[in-house]
Amino acid sequence: MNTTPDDVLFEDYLADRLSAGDVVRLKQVLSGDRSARARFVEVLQEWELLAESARQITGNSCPVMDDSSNSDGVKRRRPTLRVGAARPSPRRTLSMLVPFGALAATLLVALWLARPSTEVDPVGAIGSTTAGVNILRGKDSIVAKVGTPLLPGDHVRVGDGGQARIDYPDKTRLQLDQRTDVQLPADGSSAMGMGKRVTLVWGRVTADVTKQPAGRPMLFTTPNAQAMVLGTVLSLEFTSTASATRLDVTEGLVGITDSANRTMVEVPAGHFATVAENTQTVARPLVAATTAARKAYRSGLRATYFAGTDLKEMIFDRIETGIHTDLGLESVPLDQRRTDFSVRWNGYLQPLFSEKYLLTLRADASARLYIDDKLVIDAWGSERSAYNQGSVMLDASKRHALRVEYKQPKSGMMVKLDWASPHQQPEMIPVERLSTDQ
Amino acid sequence: MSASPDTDSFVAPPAASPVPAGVEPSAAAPAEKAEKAEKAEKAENKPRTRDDVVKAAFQYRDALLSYSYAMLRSWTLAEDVVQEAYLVVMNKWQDLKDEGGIFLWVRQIVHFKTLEAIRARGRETSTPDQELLDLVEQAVKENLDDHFAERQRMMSTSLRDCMSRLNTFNVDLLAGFYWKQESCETLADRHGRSVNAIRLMLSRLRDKLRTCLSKRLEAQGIRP
Repeated sequence: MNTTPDDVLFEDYLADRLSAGDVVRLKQVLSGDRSARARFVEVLQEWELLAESARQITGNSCPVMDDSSNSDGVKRRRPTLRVGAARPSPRRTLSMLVPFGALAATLLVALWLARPSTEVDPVGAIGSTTAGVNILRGKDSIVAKVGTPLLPGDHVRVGDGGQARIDYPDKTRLQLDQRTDVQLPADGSSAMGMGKRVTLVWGRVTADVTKQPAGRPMLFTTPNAQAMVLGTVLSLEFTSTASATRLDVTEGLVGITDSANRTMVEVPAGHFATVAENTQTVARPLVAATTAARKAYRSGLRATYFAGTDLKEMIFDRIETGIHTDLGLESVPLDQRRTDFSVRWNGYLQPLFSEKYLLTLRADASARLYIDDKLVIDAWGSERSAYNQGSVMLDASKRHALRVEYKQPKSGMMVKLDWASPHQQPEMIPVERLSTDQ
Repeated sequence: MSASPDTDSFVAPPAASPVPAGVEPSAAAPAEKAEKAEKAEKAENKPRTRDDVVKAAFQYRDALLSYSYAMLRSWTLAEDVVQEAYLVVMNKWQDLKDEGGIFLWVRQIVHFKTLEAIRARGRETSTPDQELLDLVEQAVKENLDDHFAERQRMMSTSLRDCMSRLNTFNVDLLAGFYWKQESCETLADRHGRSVNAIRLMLSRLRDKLRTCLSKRLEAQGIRP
């Protein structure tokens, strides 16, 4: 899709910014050969894709325009309703206004009494929340609080370290992990006779779905898959970097459909399935210990900081979203008296695919990595910045114990852990693939 | 442009004939063969429900939005039109005679709903250039077919994935320009940059996304 001279004209038309001269030129171009019209539709297609994608990612609702001129002086065509009375003419007398006002007041009272209900029924409400959870409603961002009603079209966005729960009136509950964005349908699908709809834009949702009415299953949509649920306990997540949707089912039966080829796979209890490019979607059993989707475990890793380089004198510990720290020459906010310190990250790693992974540990000092208590990367004793790599077979049906240790005898801190596999480009291990509990 | 019929009486157009244009199907085709073909078709097309039809129609949302937007140039109105079209689909899904023709059927509904919206808007604002609208309509009718819609659907997932890798500033810039229809001047004011800088940034972003999209489509075996 390279830009041609006519493209600028097409784009100005689509942006509603054509001058009178441009209109004449555009008519000449479009009335010419068929290829020009085909090109126009290609530009239109790109325009729509960019607009819609940007809208979905930013969570914007429909833009509202008014009649005011924009900065380039072009009038917007969308009309707005004006609220309030027109300016009264000075010629009008009070005697004319009084009966008119009385009539208007009567009409307003009659209209008020006969008004259709314009209030939108809430879809559900925030059942529990931590800090860092916002509801995006149109252009507004509302801090989520327990009991905040959720309306059609709302996005619930959970930031780093946050968690939230959405409660539906029928006791269906959605647990939203940190770094998660879900959107409720804007079209009030329930009112149109359809079941509950939820779009998982990114992140992870654990759902406890009450048995749904016959013919109205609950539908979860991710950018590349749909999961249809009648009543079950499941965990669904979408990893945008790998374009993959993973579904874990604890109870019941869920049908997951690959949006690209529309093939549906039934995932029974104790099984999982992953929908991704160039991968066949199949339901595979989960290792028993990892089926606890009902248990809302915390994603991330537990990081324990120690004074000194021997990993003994603990200063504090906290949950971190991954191993990706680059403080340069700054010192770690530990005990101010000393610059030497060490860190241990502990947790579990659950891959999206069962295959060989290449793990890359980059550190500016000593570091080592264990998977399932086996040493995979050993750069312990190194005093300079280095990439170290190790390969390991990972199984998507289980969580692998992960431990990274790092020691810094001077100051600063740089340590990063990435992974790559035949189905995944190199990337920092996303937080939803890490958990503090098995 | 043609007059709008009552949207409640939409009848799905037949699917494109497998027989090339200008070639008459053989009248002497044995009845048995036709019956077999019908049976095979029935076996292939599982019993349809309203949900099936609605879901199939929803797949083409991007293309339908493009169709309506091309003539309305307002996302708000185009979304309303597509939404109304889906309501018609939900109420009249049994009118769809051939599932293969679903895109053309919904496109037809969107077409008439778009004309209604243009007429409604025309009562409130100045009428747009009718000749230009006719040419735009011709362009979308000629090119926006079911193959194009399917391709747009596939591109949509990949592009969203590519865009999700951009930082918030860049995505906001794209949303401002393409979705909110803000001019480069408005964006420049808001972000404290020059108009040329905004133009350059948008141009680079587009190139970046095109490259990413091409790679993803190629990986799926689709010619970019």
